[in-house]
Amino acid sequence: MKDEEIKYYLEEAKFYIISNRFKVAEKYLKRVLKEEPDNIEALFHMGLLNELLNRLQEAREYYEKVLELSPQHKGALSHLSKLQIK
Amino acid sequence: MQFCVIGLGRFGEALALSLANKGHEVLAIDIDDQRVQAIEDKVSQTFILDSTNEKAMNSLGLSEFDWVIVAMSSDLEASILTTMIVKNAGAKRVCAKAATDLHAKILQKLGIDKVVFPEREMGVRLAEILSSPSIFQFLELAEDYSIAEVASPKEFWDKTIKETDARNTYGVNIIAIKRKDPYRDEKTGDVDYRETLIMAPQSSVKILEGDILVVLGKNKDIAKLDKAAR
Repeated sequence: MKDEEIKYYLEEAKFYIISNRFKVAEKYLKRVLKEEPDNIEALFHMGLLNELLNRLQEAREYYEKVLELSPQHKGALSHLSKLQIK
Repeated sequence: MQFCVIGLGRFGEALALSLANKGHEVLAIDIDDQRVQAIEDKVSQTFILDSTNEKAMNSLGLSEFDWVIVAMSSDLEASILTTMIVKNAGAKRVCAKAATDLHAKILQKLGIDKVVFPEREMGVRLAEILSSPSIFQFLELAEDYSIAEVASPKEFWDKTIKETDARNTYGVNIIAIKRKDPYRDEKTGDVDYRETLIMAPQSSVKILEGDILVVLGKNKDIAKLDKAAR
């Protein structure tokens, strides 16, 4: 998969998240992660998607993975700390 | 309102600070000077005082407070003596923390207004929250009735509250909806969400996937809804 395709899938995923069409968004993110399992943007949005669907344990795992790859990731840090107190 | 908190252990300290943060006048008392010093600049007034000393306690004007809370429970004798002294001093309303059933019975015999079991109550809440991935908060109101935050079950998605017929189907009332609204930051392009609380929603409000329902009902009915949400 080319970089452009990855970018396109991520954009589509974001669009479907904000449109509350989470299943479709998940498909796009999974496609990216199949090609690039360490894609930070896809992992972060998988965390966000799971949080939106109240699957908090899964959300934590995705954010933790993001932080393994990028320890200063602001979004993951902020969302993970919010989830720790829930 | 005016509160007097006697005993500044973990429970008493947290209580005194929370009340002060809400803007109430709080008088905090403990026999231990370090505990008092730890919060003296965060509440209205503090005293290092032995609460079983009746003469000293009578000098505090306890009848002026809206609530007097006896927040110590590990020393049974001190808790009971303090509660008696507080009652005799004419406190309007008294709340005391109990460690055991027997302790609670004695406190109730003294005619106090409220007995609390923080550890037990927290234990019940935590058990409910941890035993189910779809229950996020749990507050027991009476023996059988609670308020709980439960993930919306799939069968409710895209239906109005009226259409879900939650009251008849599950025996629960939806008293609020916690909703996460995703949005995109135009500057950074990042996606995030804002949490909104729809209080006392009308029957025409639609329930969405990902909503958390704040429901009031019997524990067995909440358990039924929780099962449907898993």
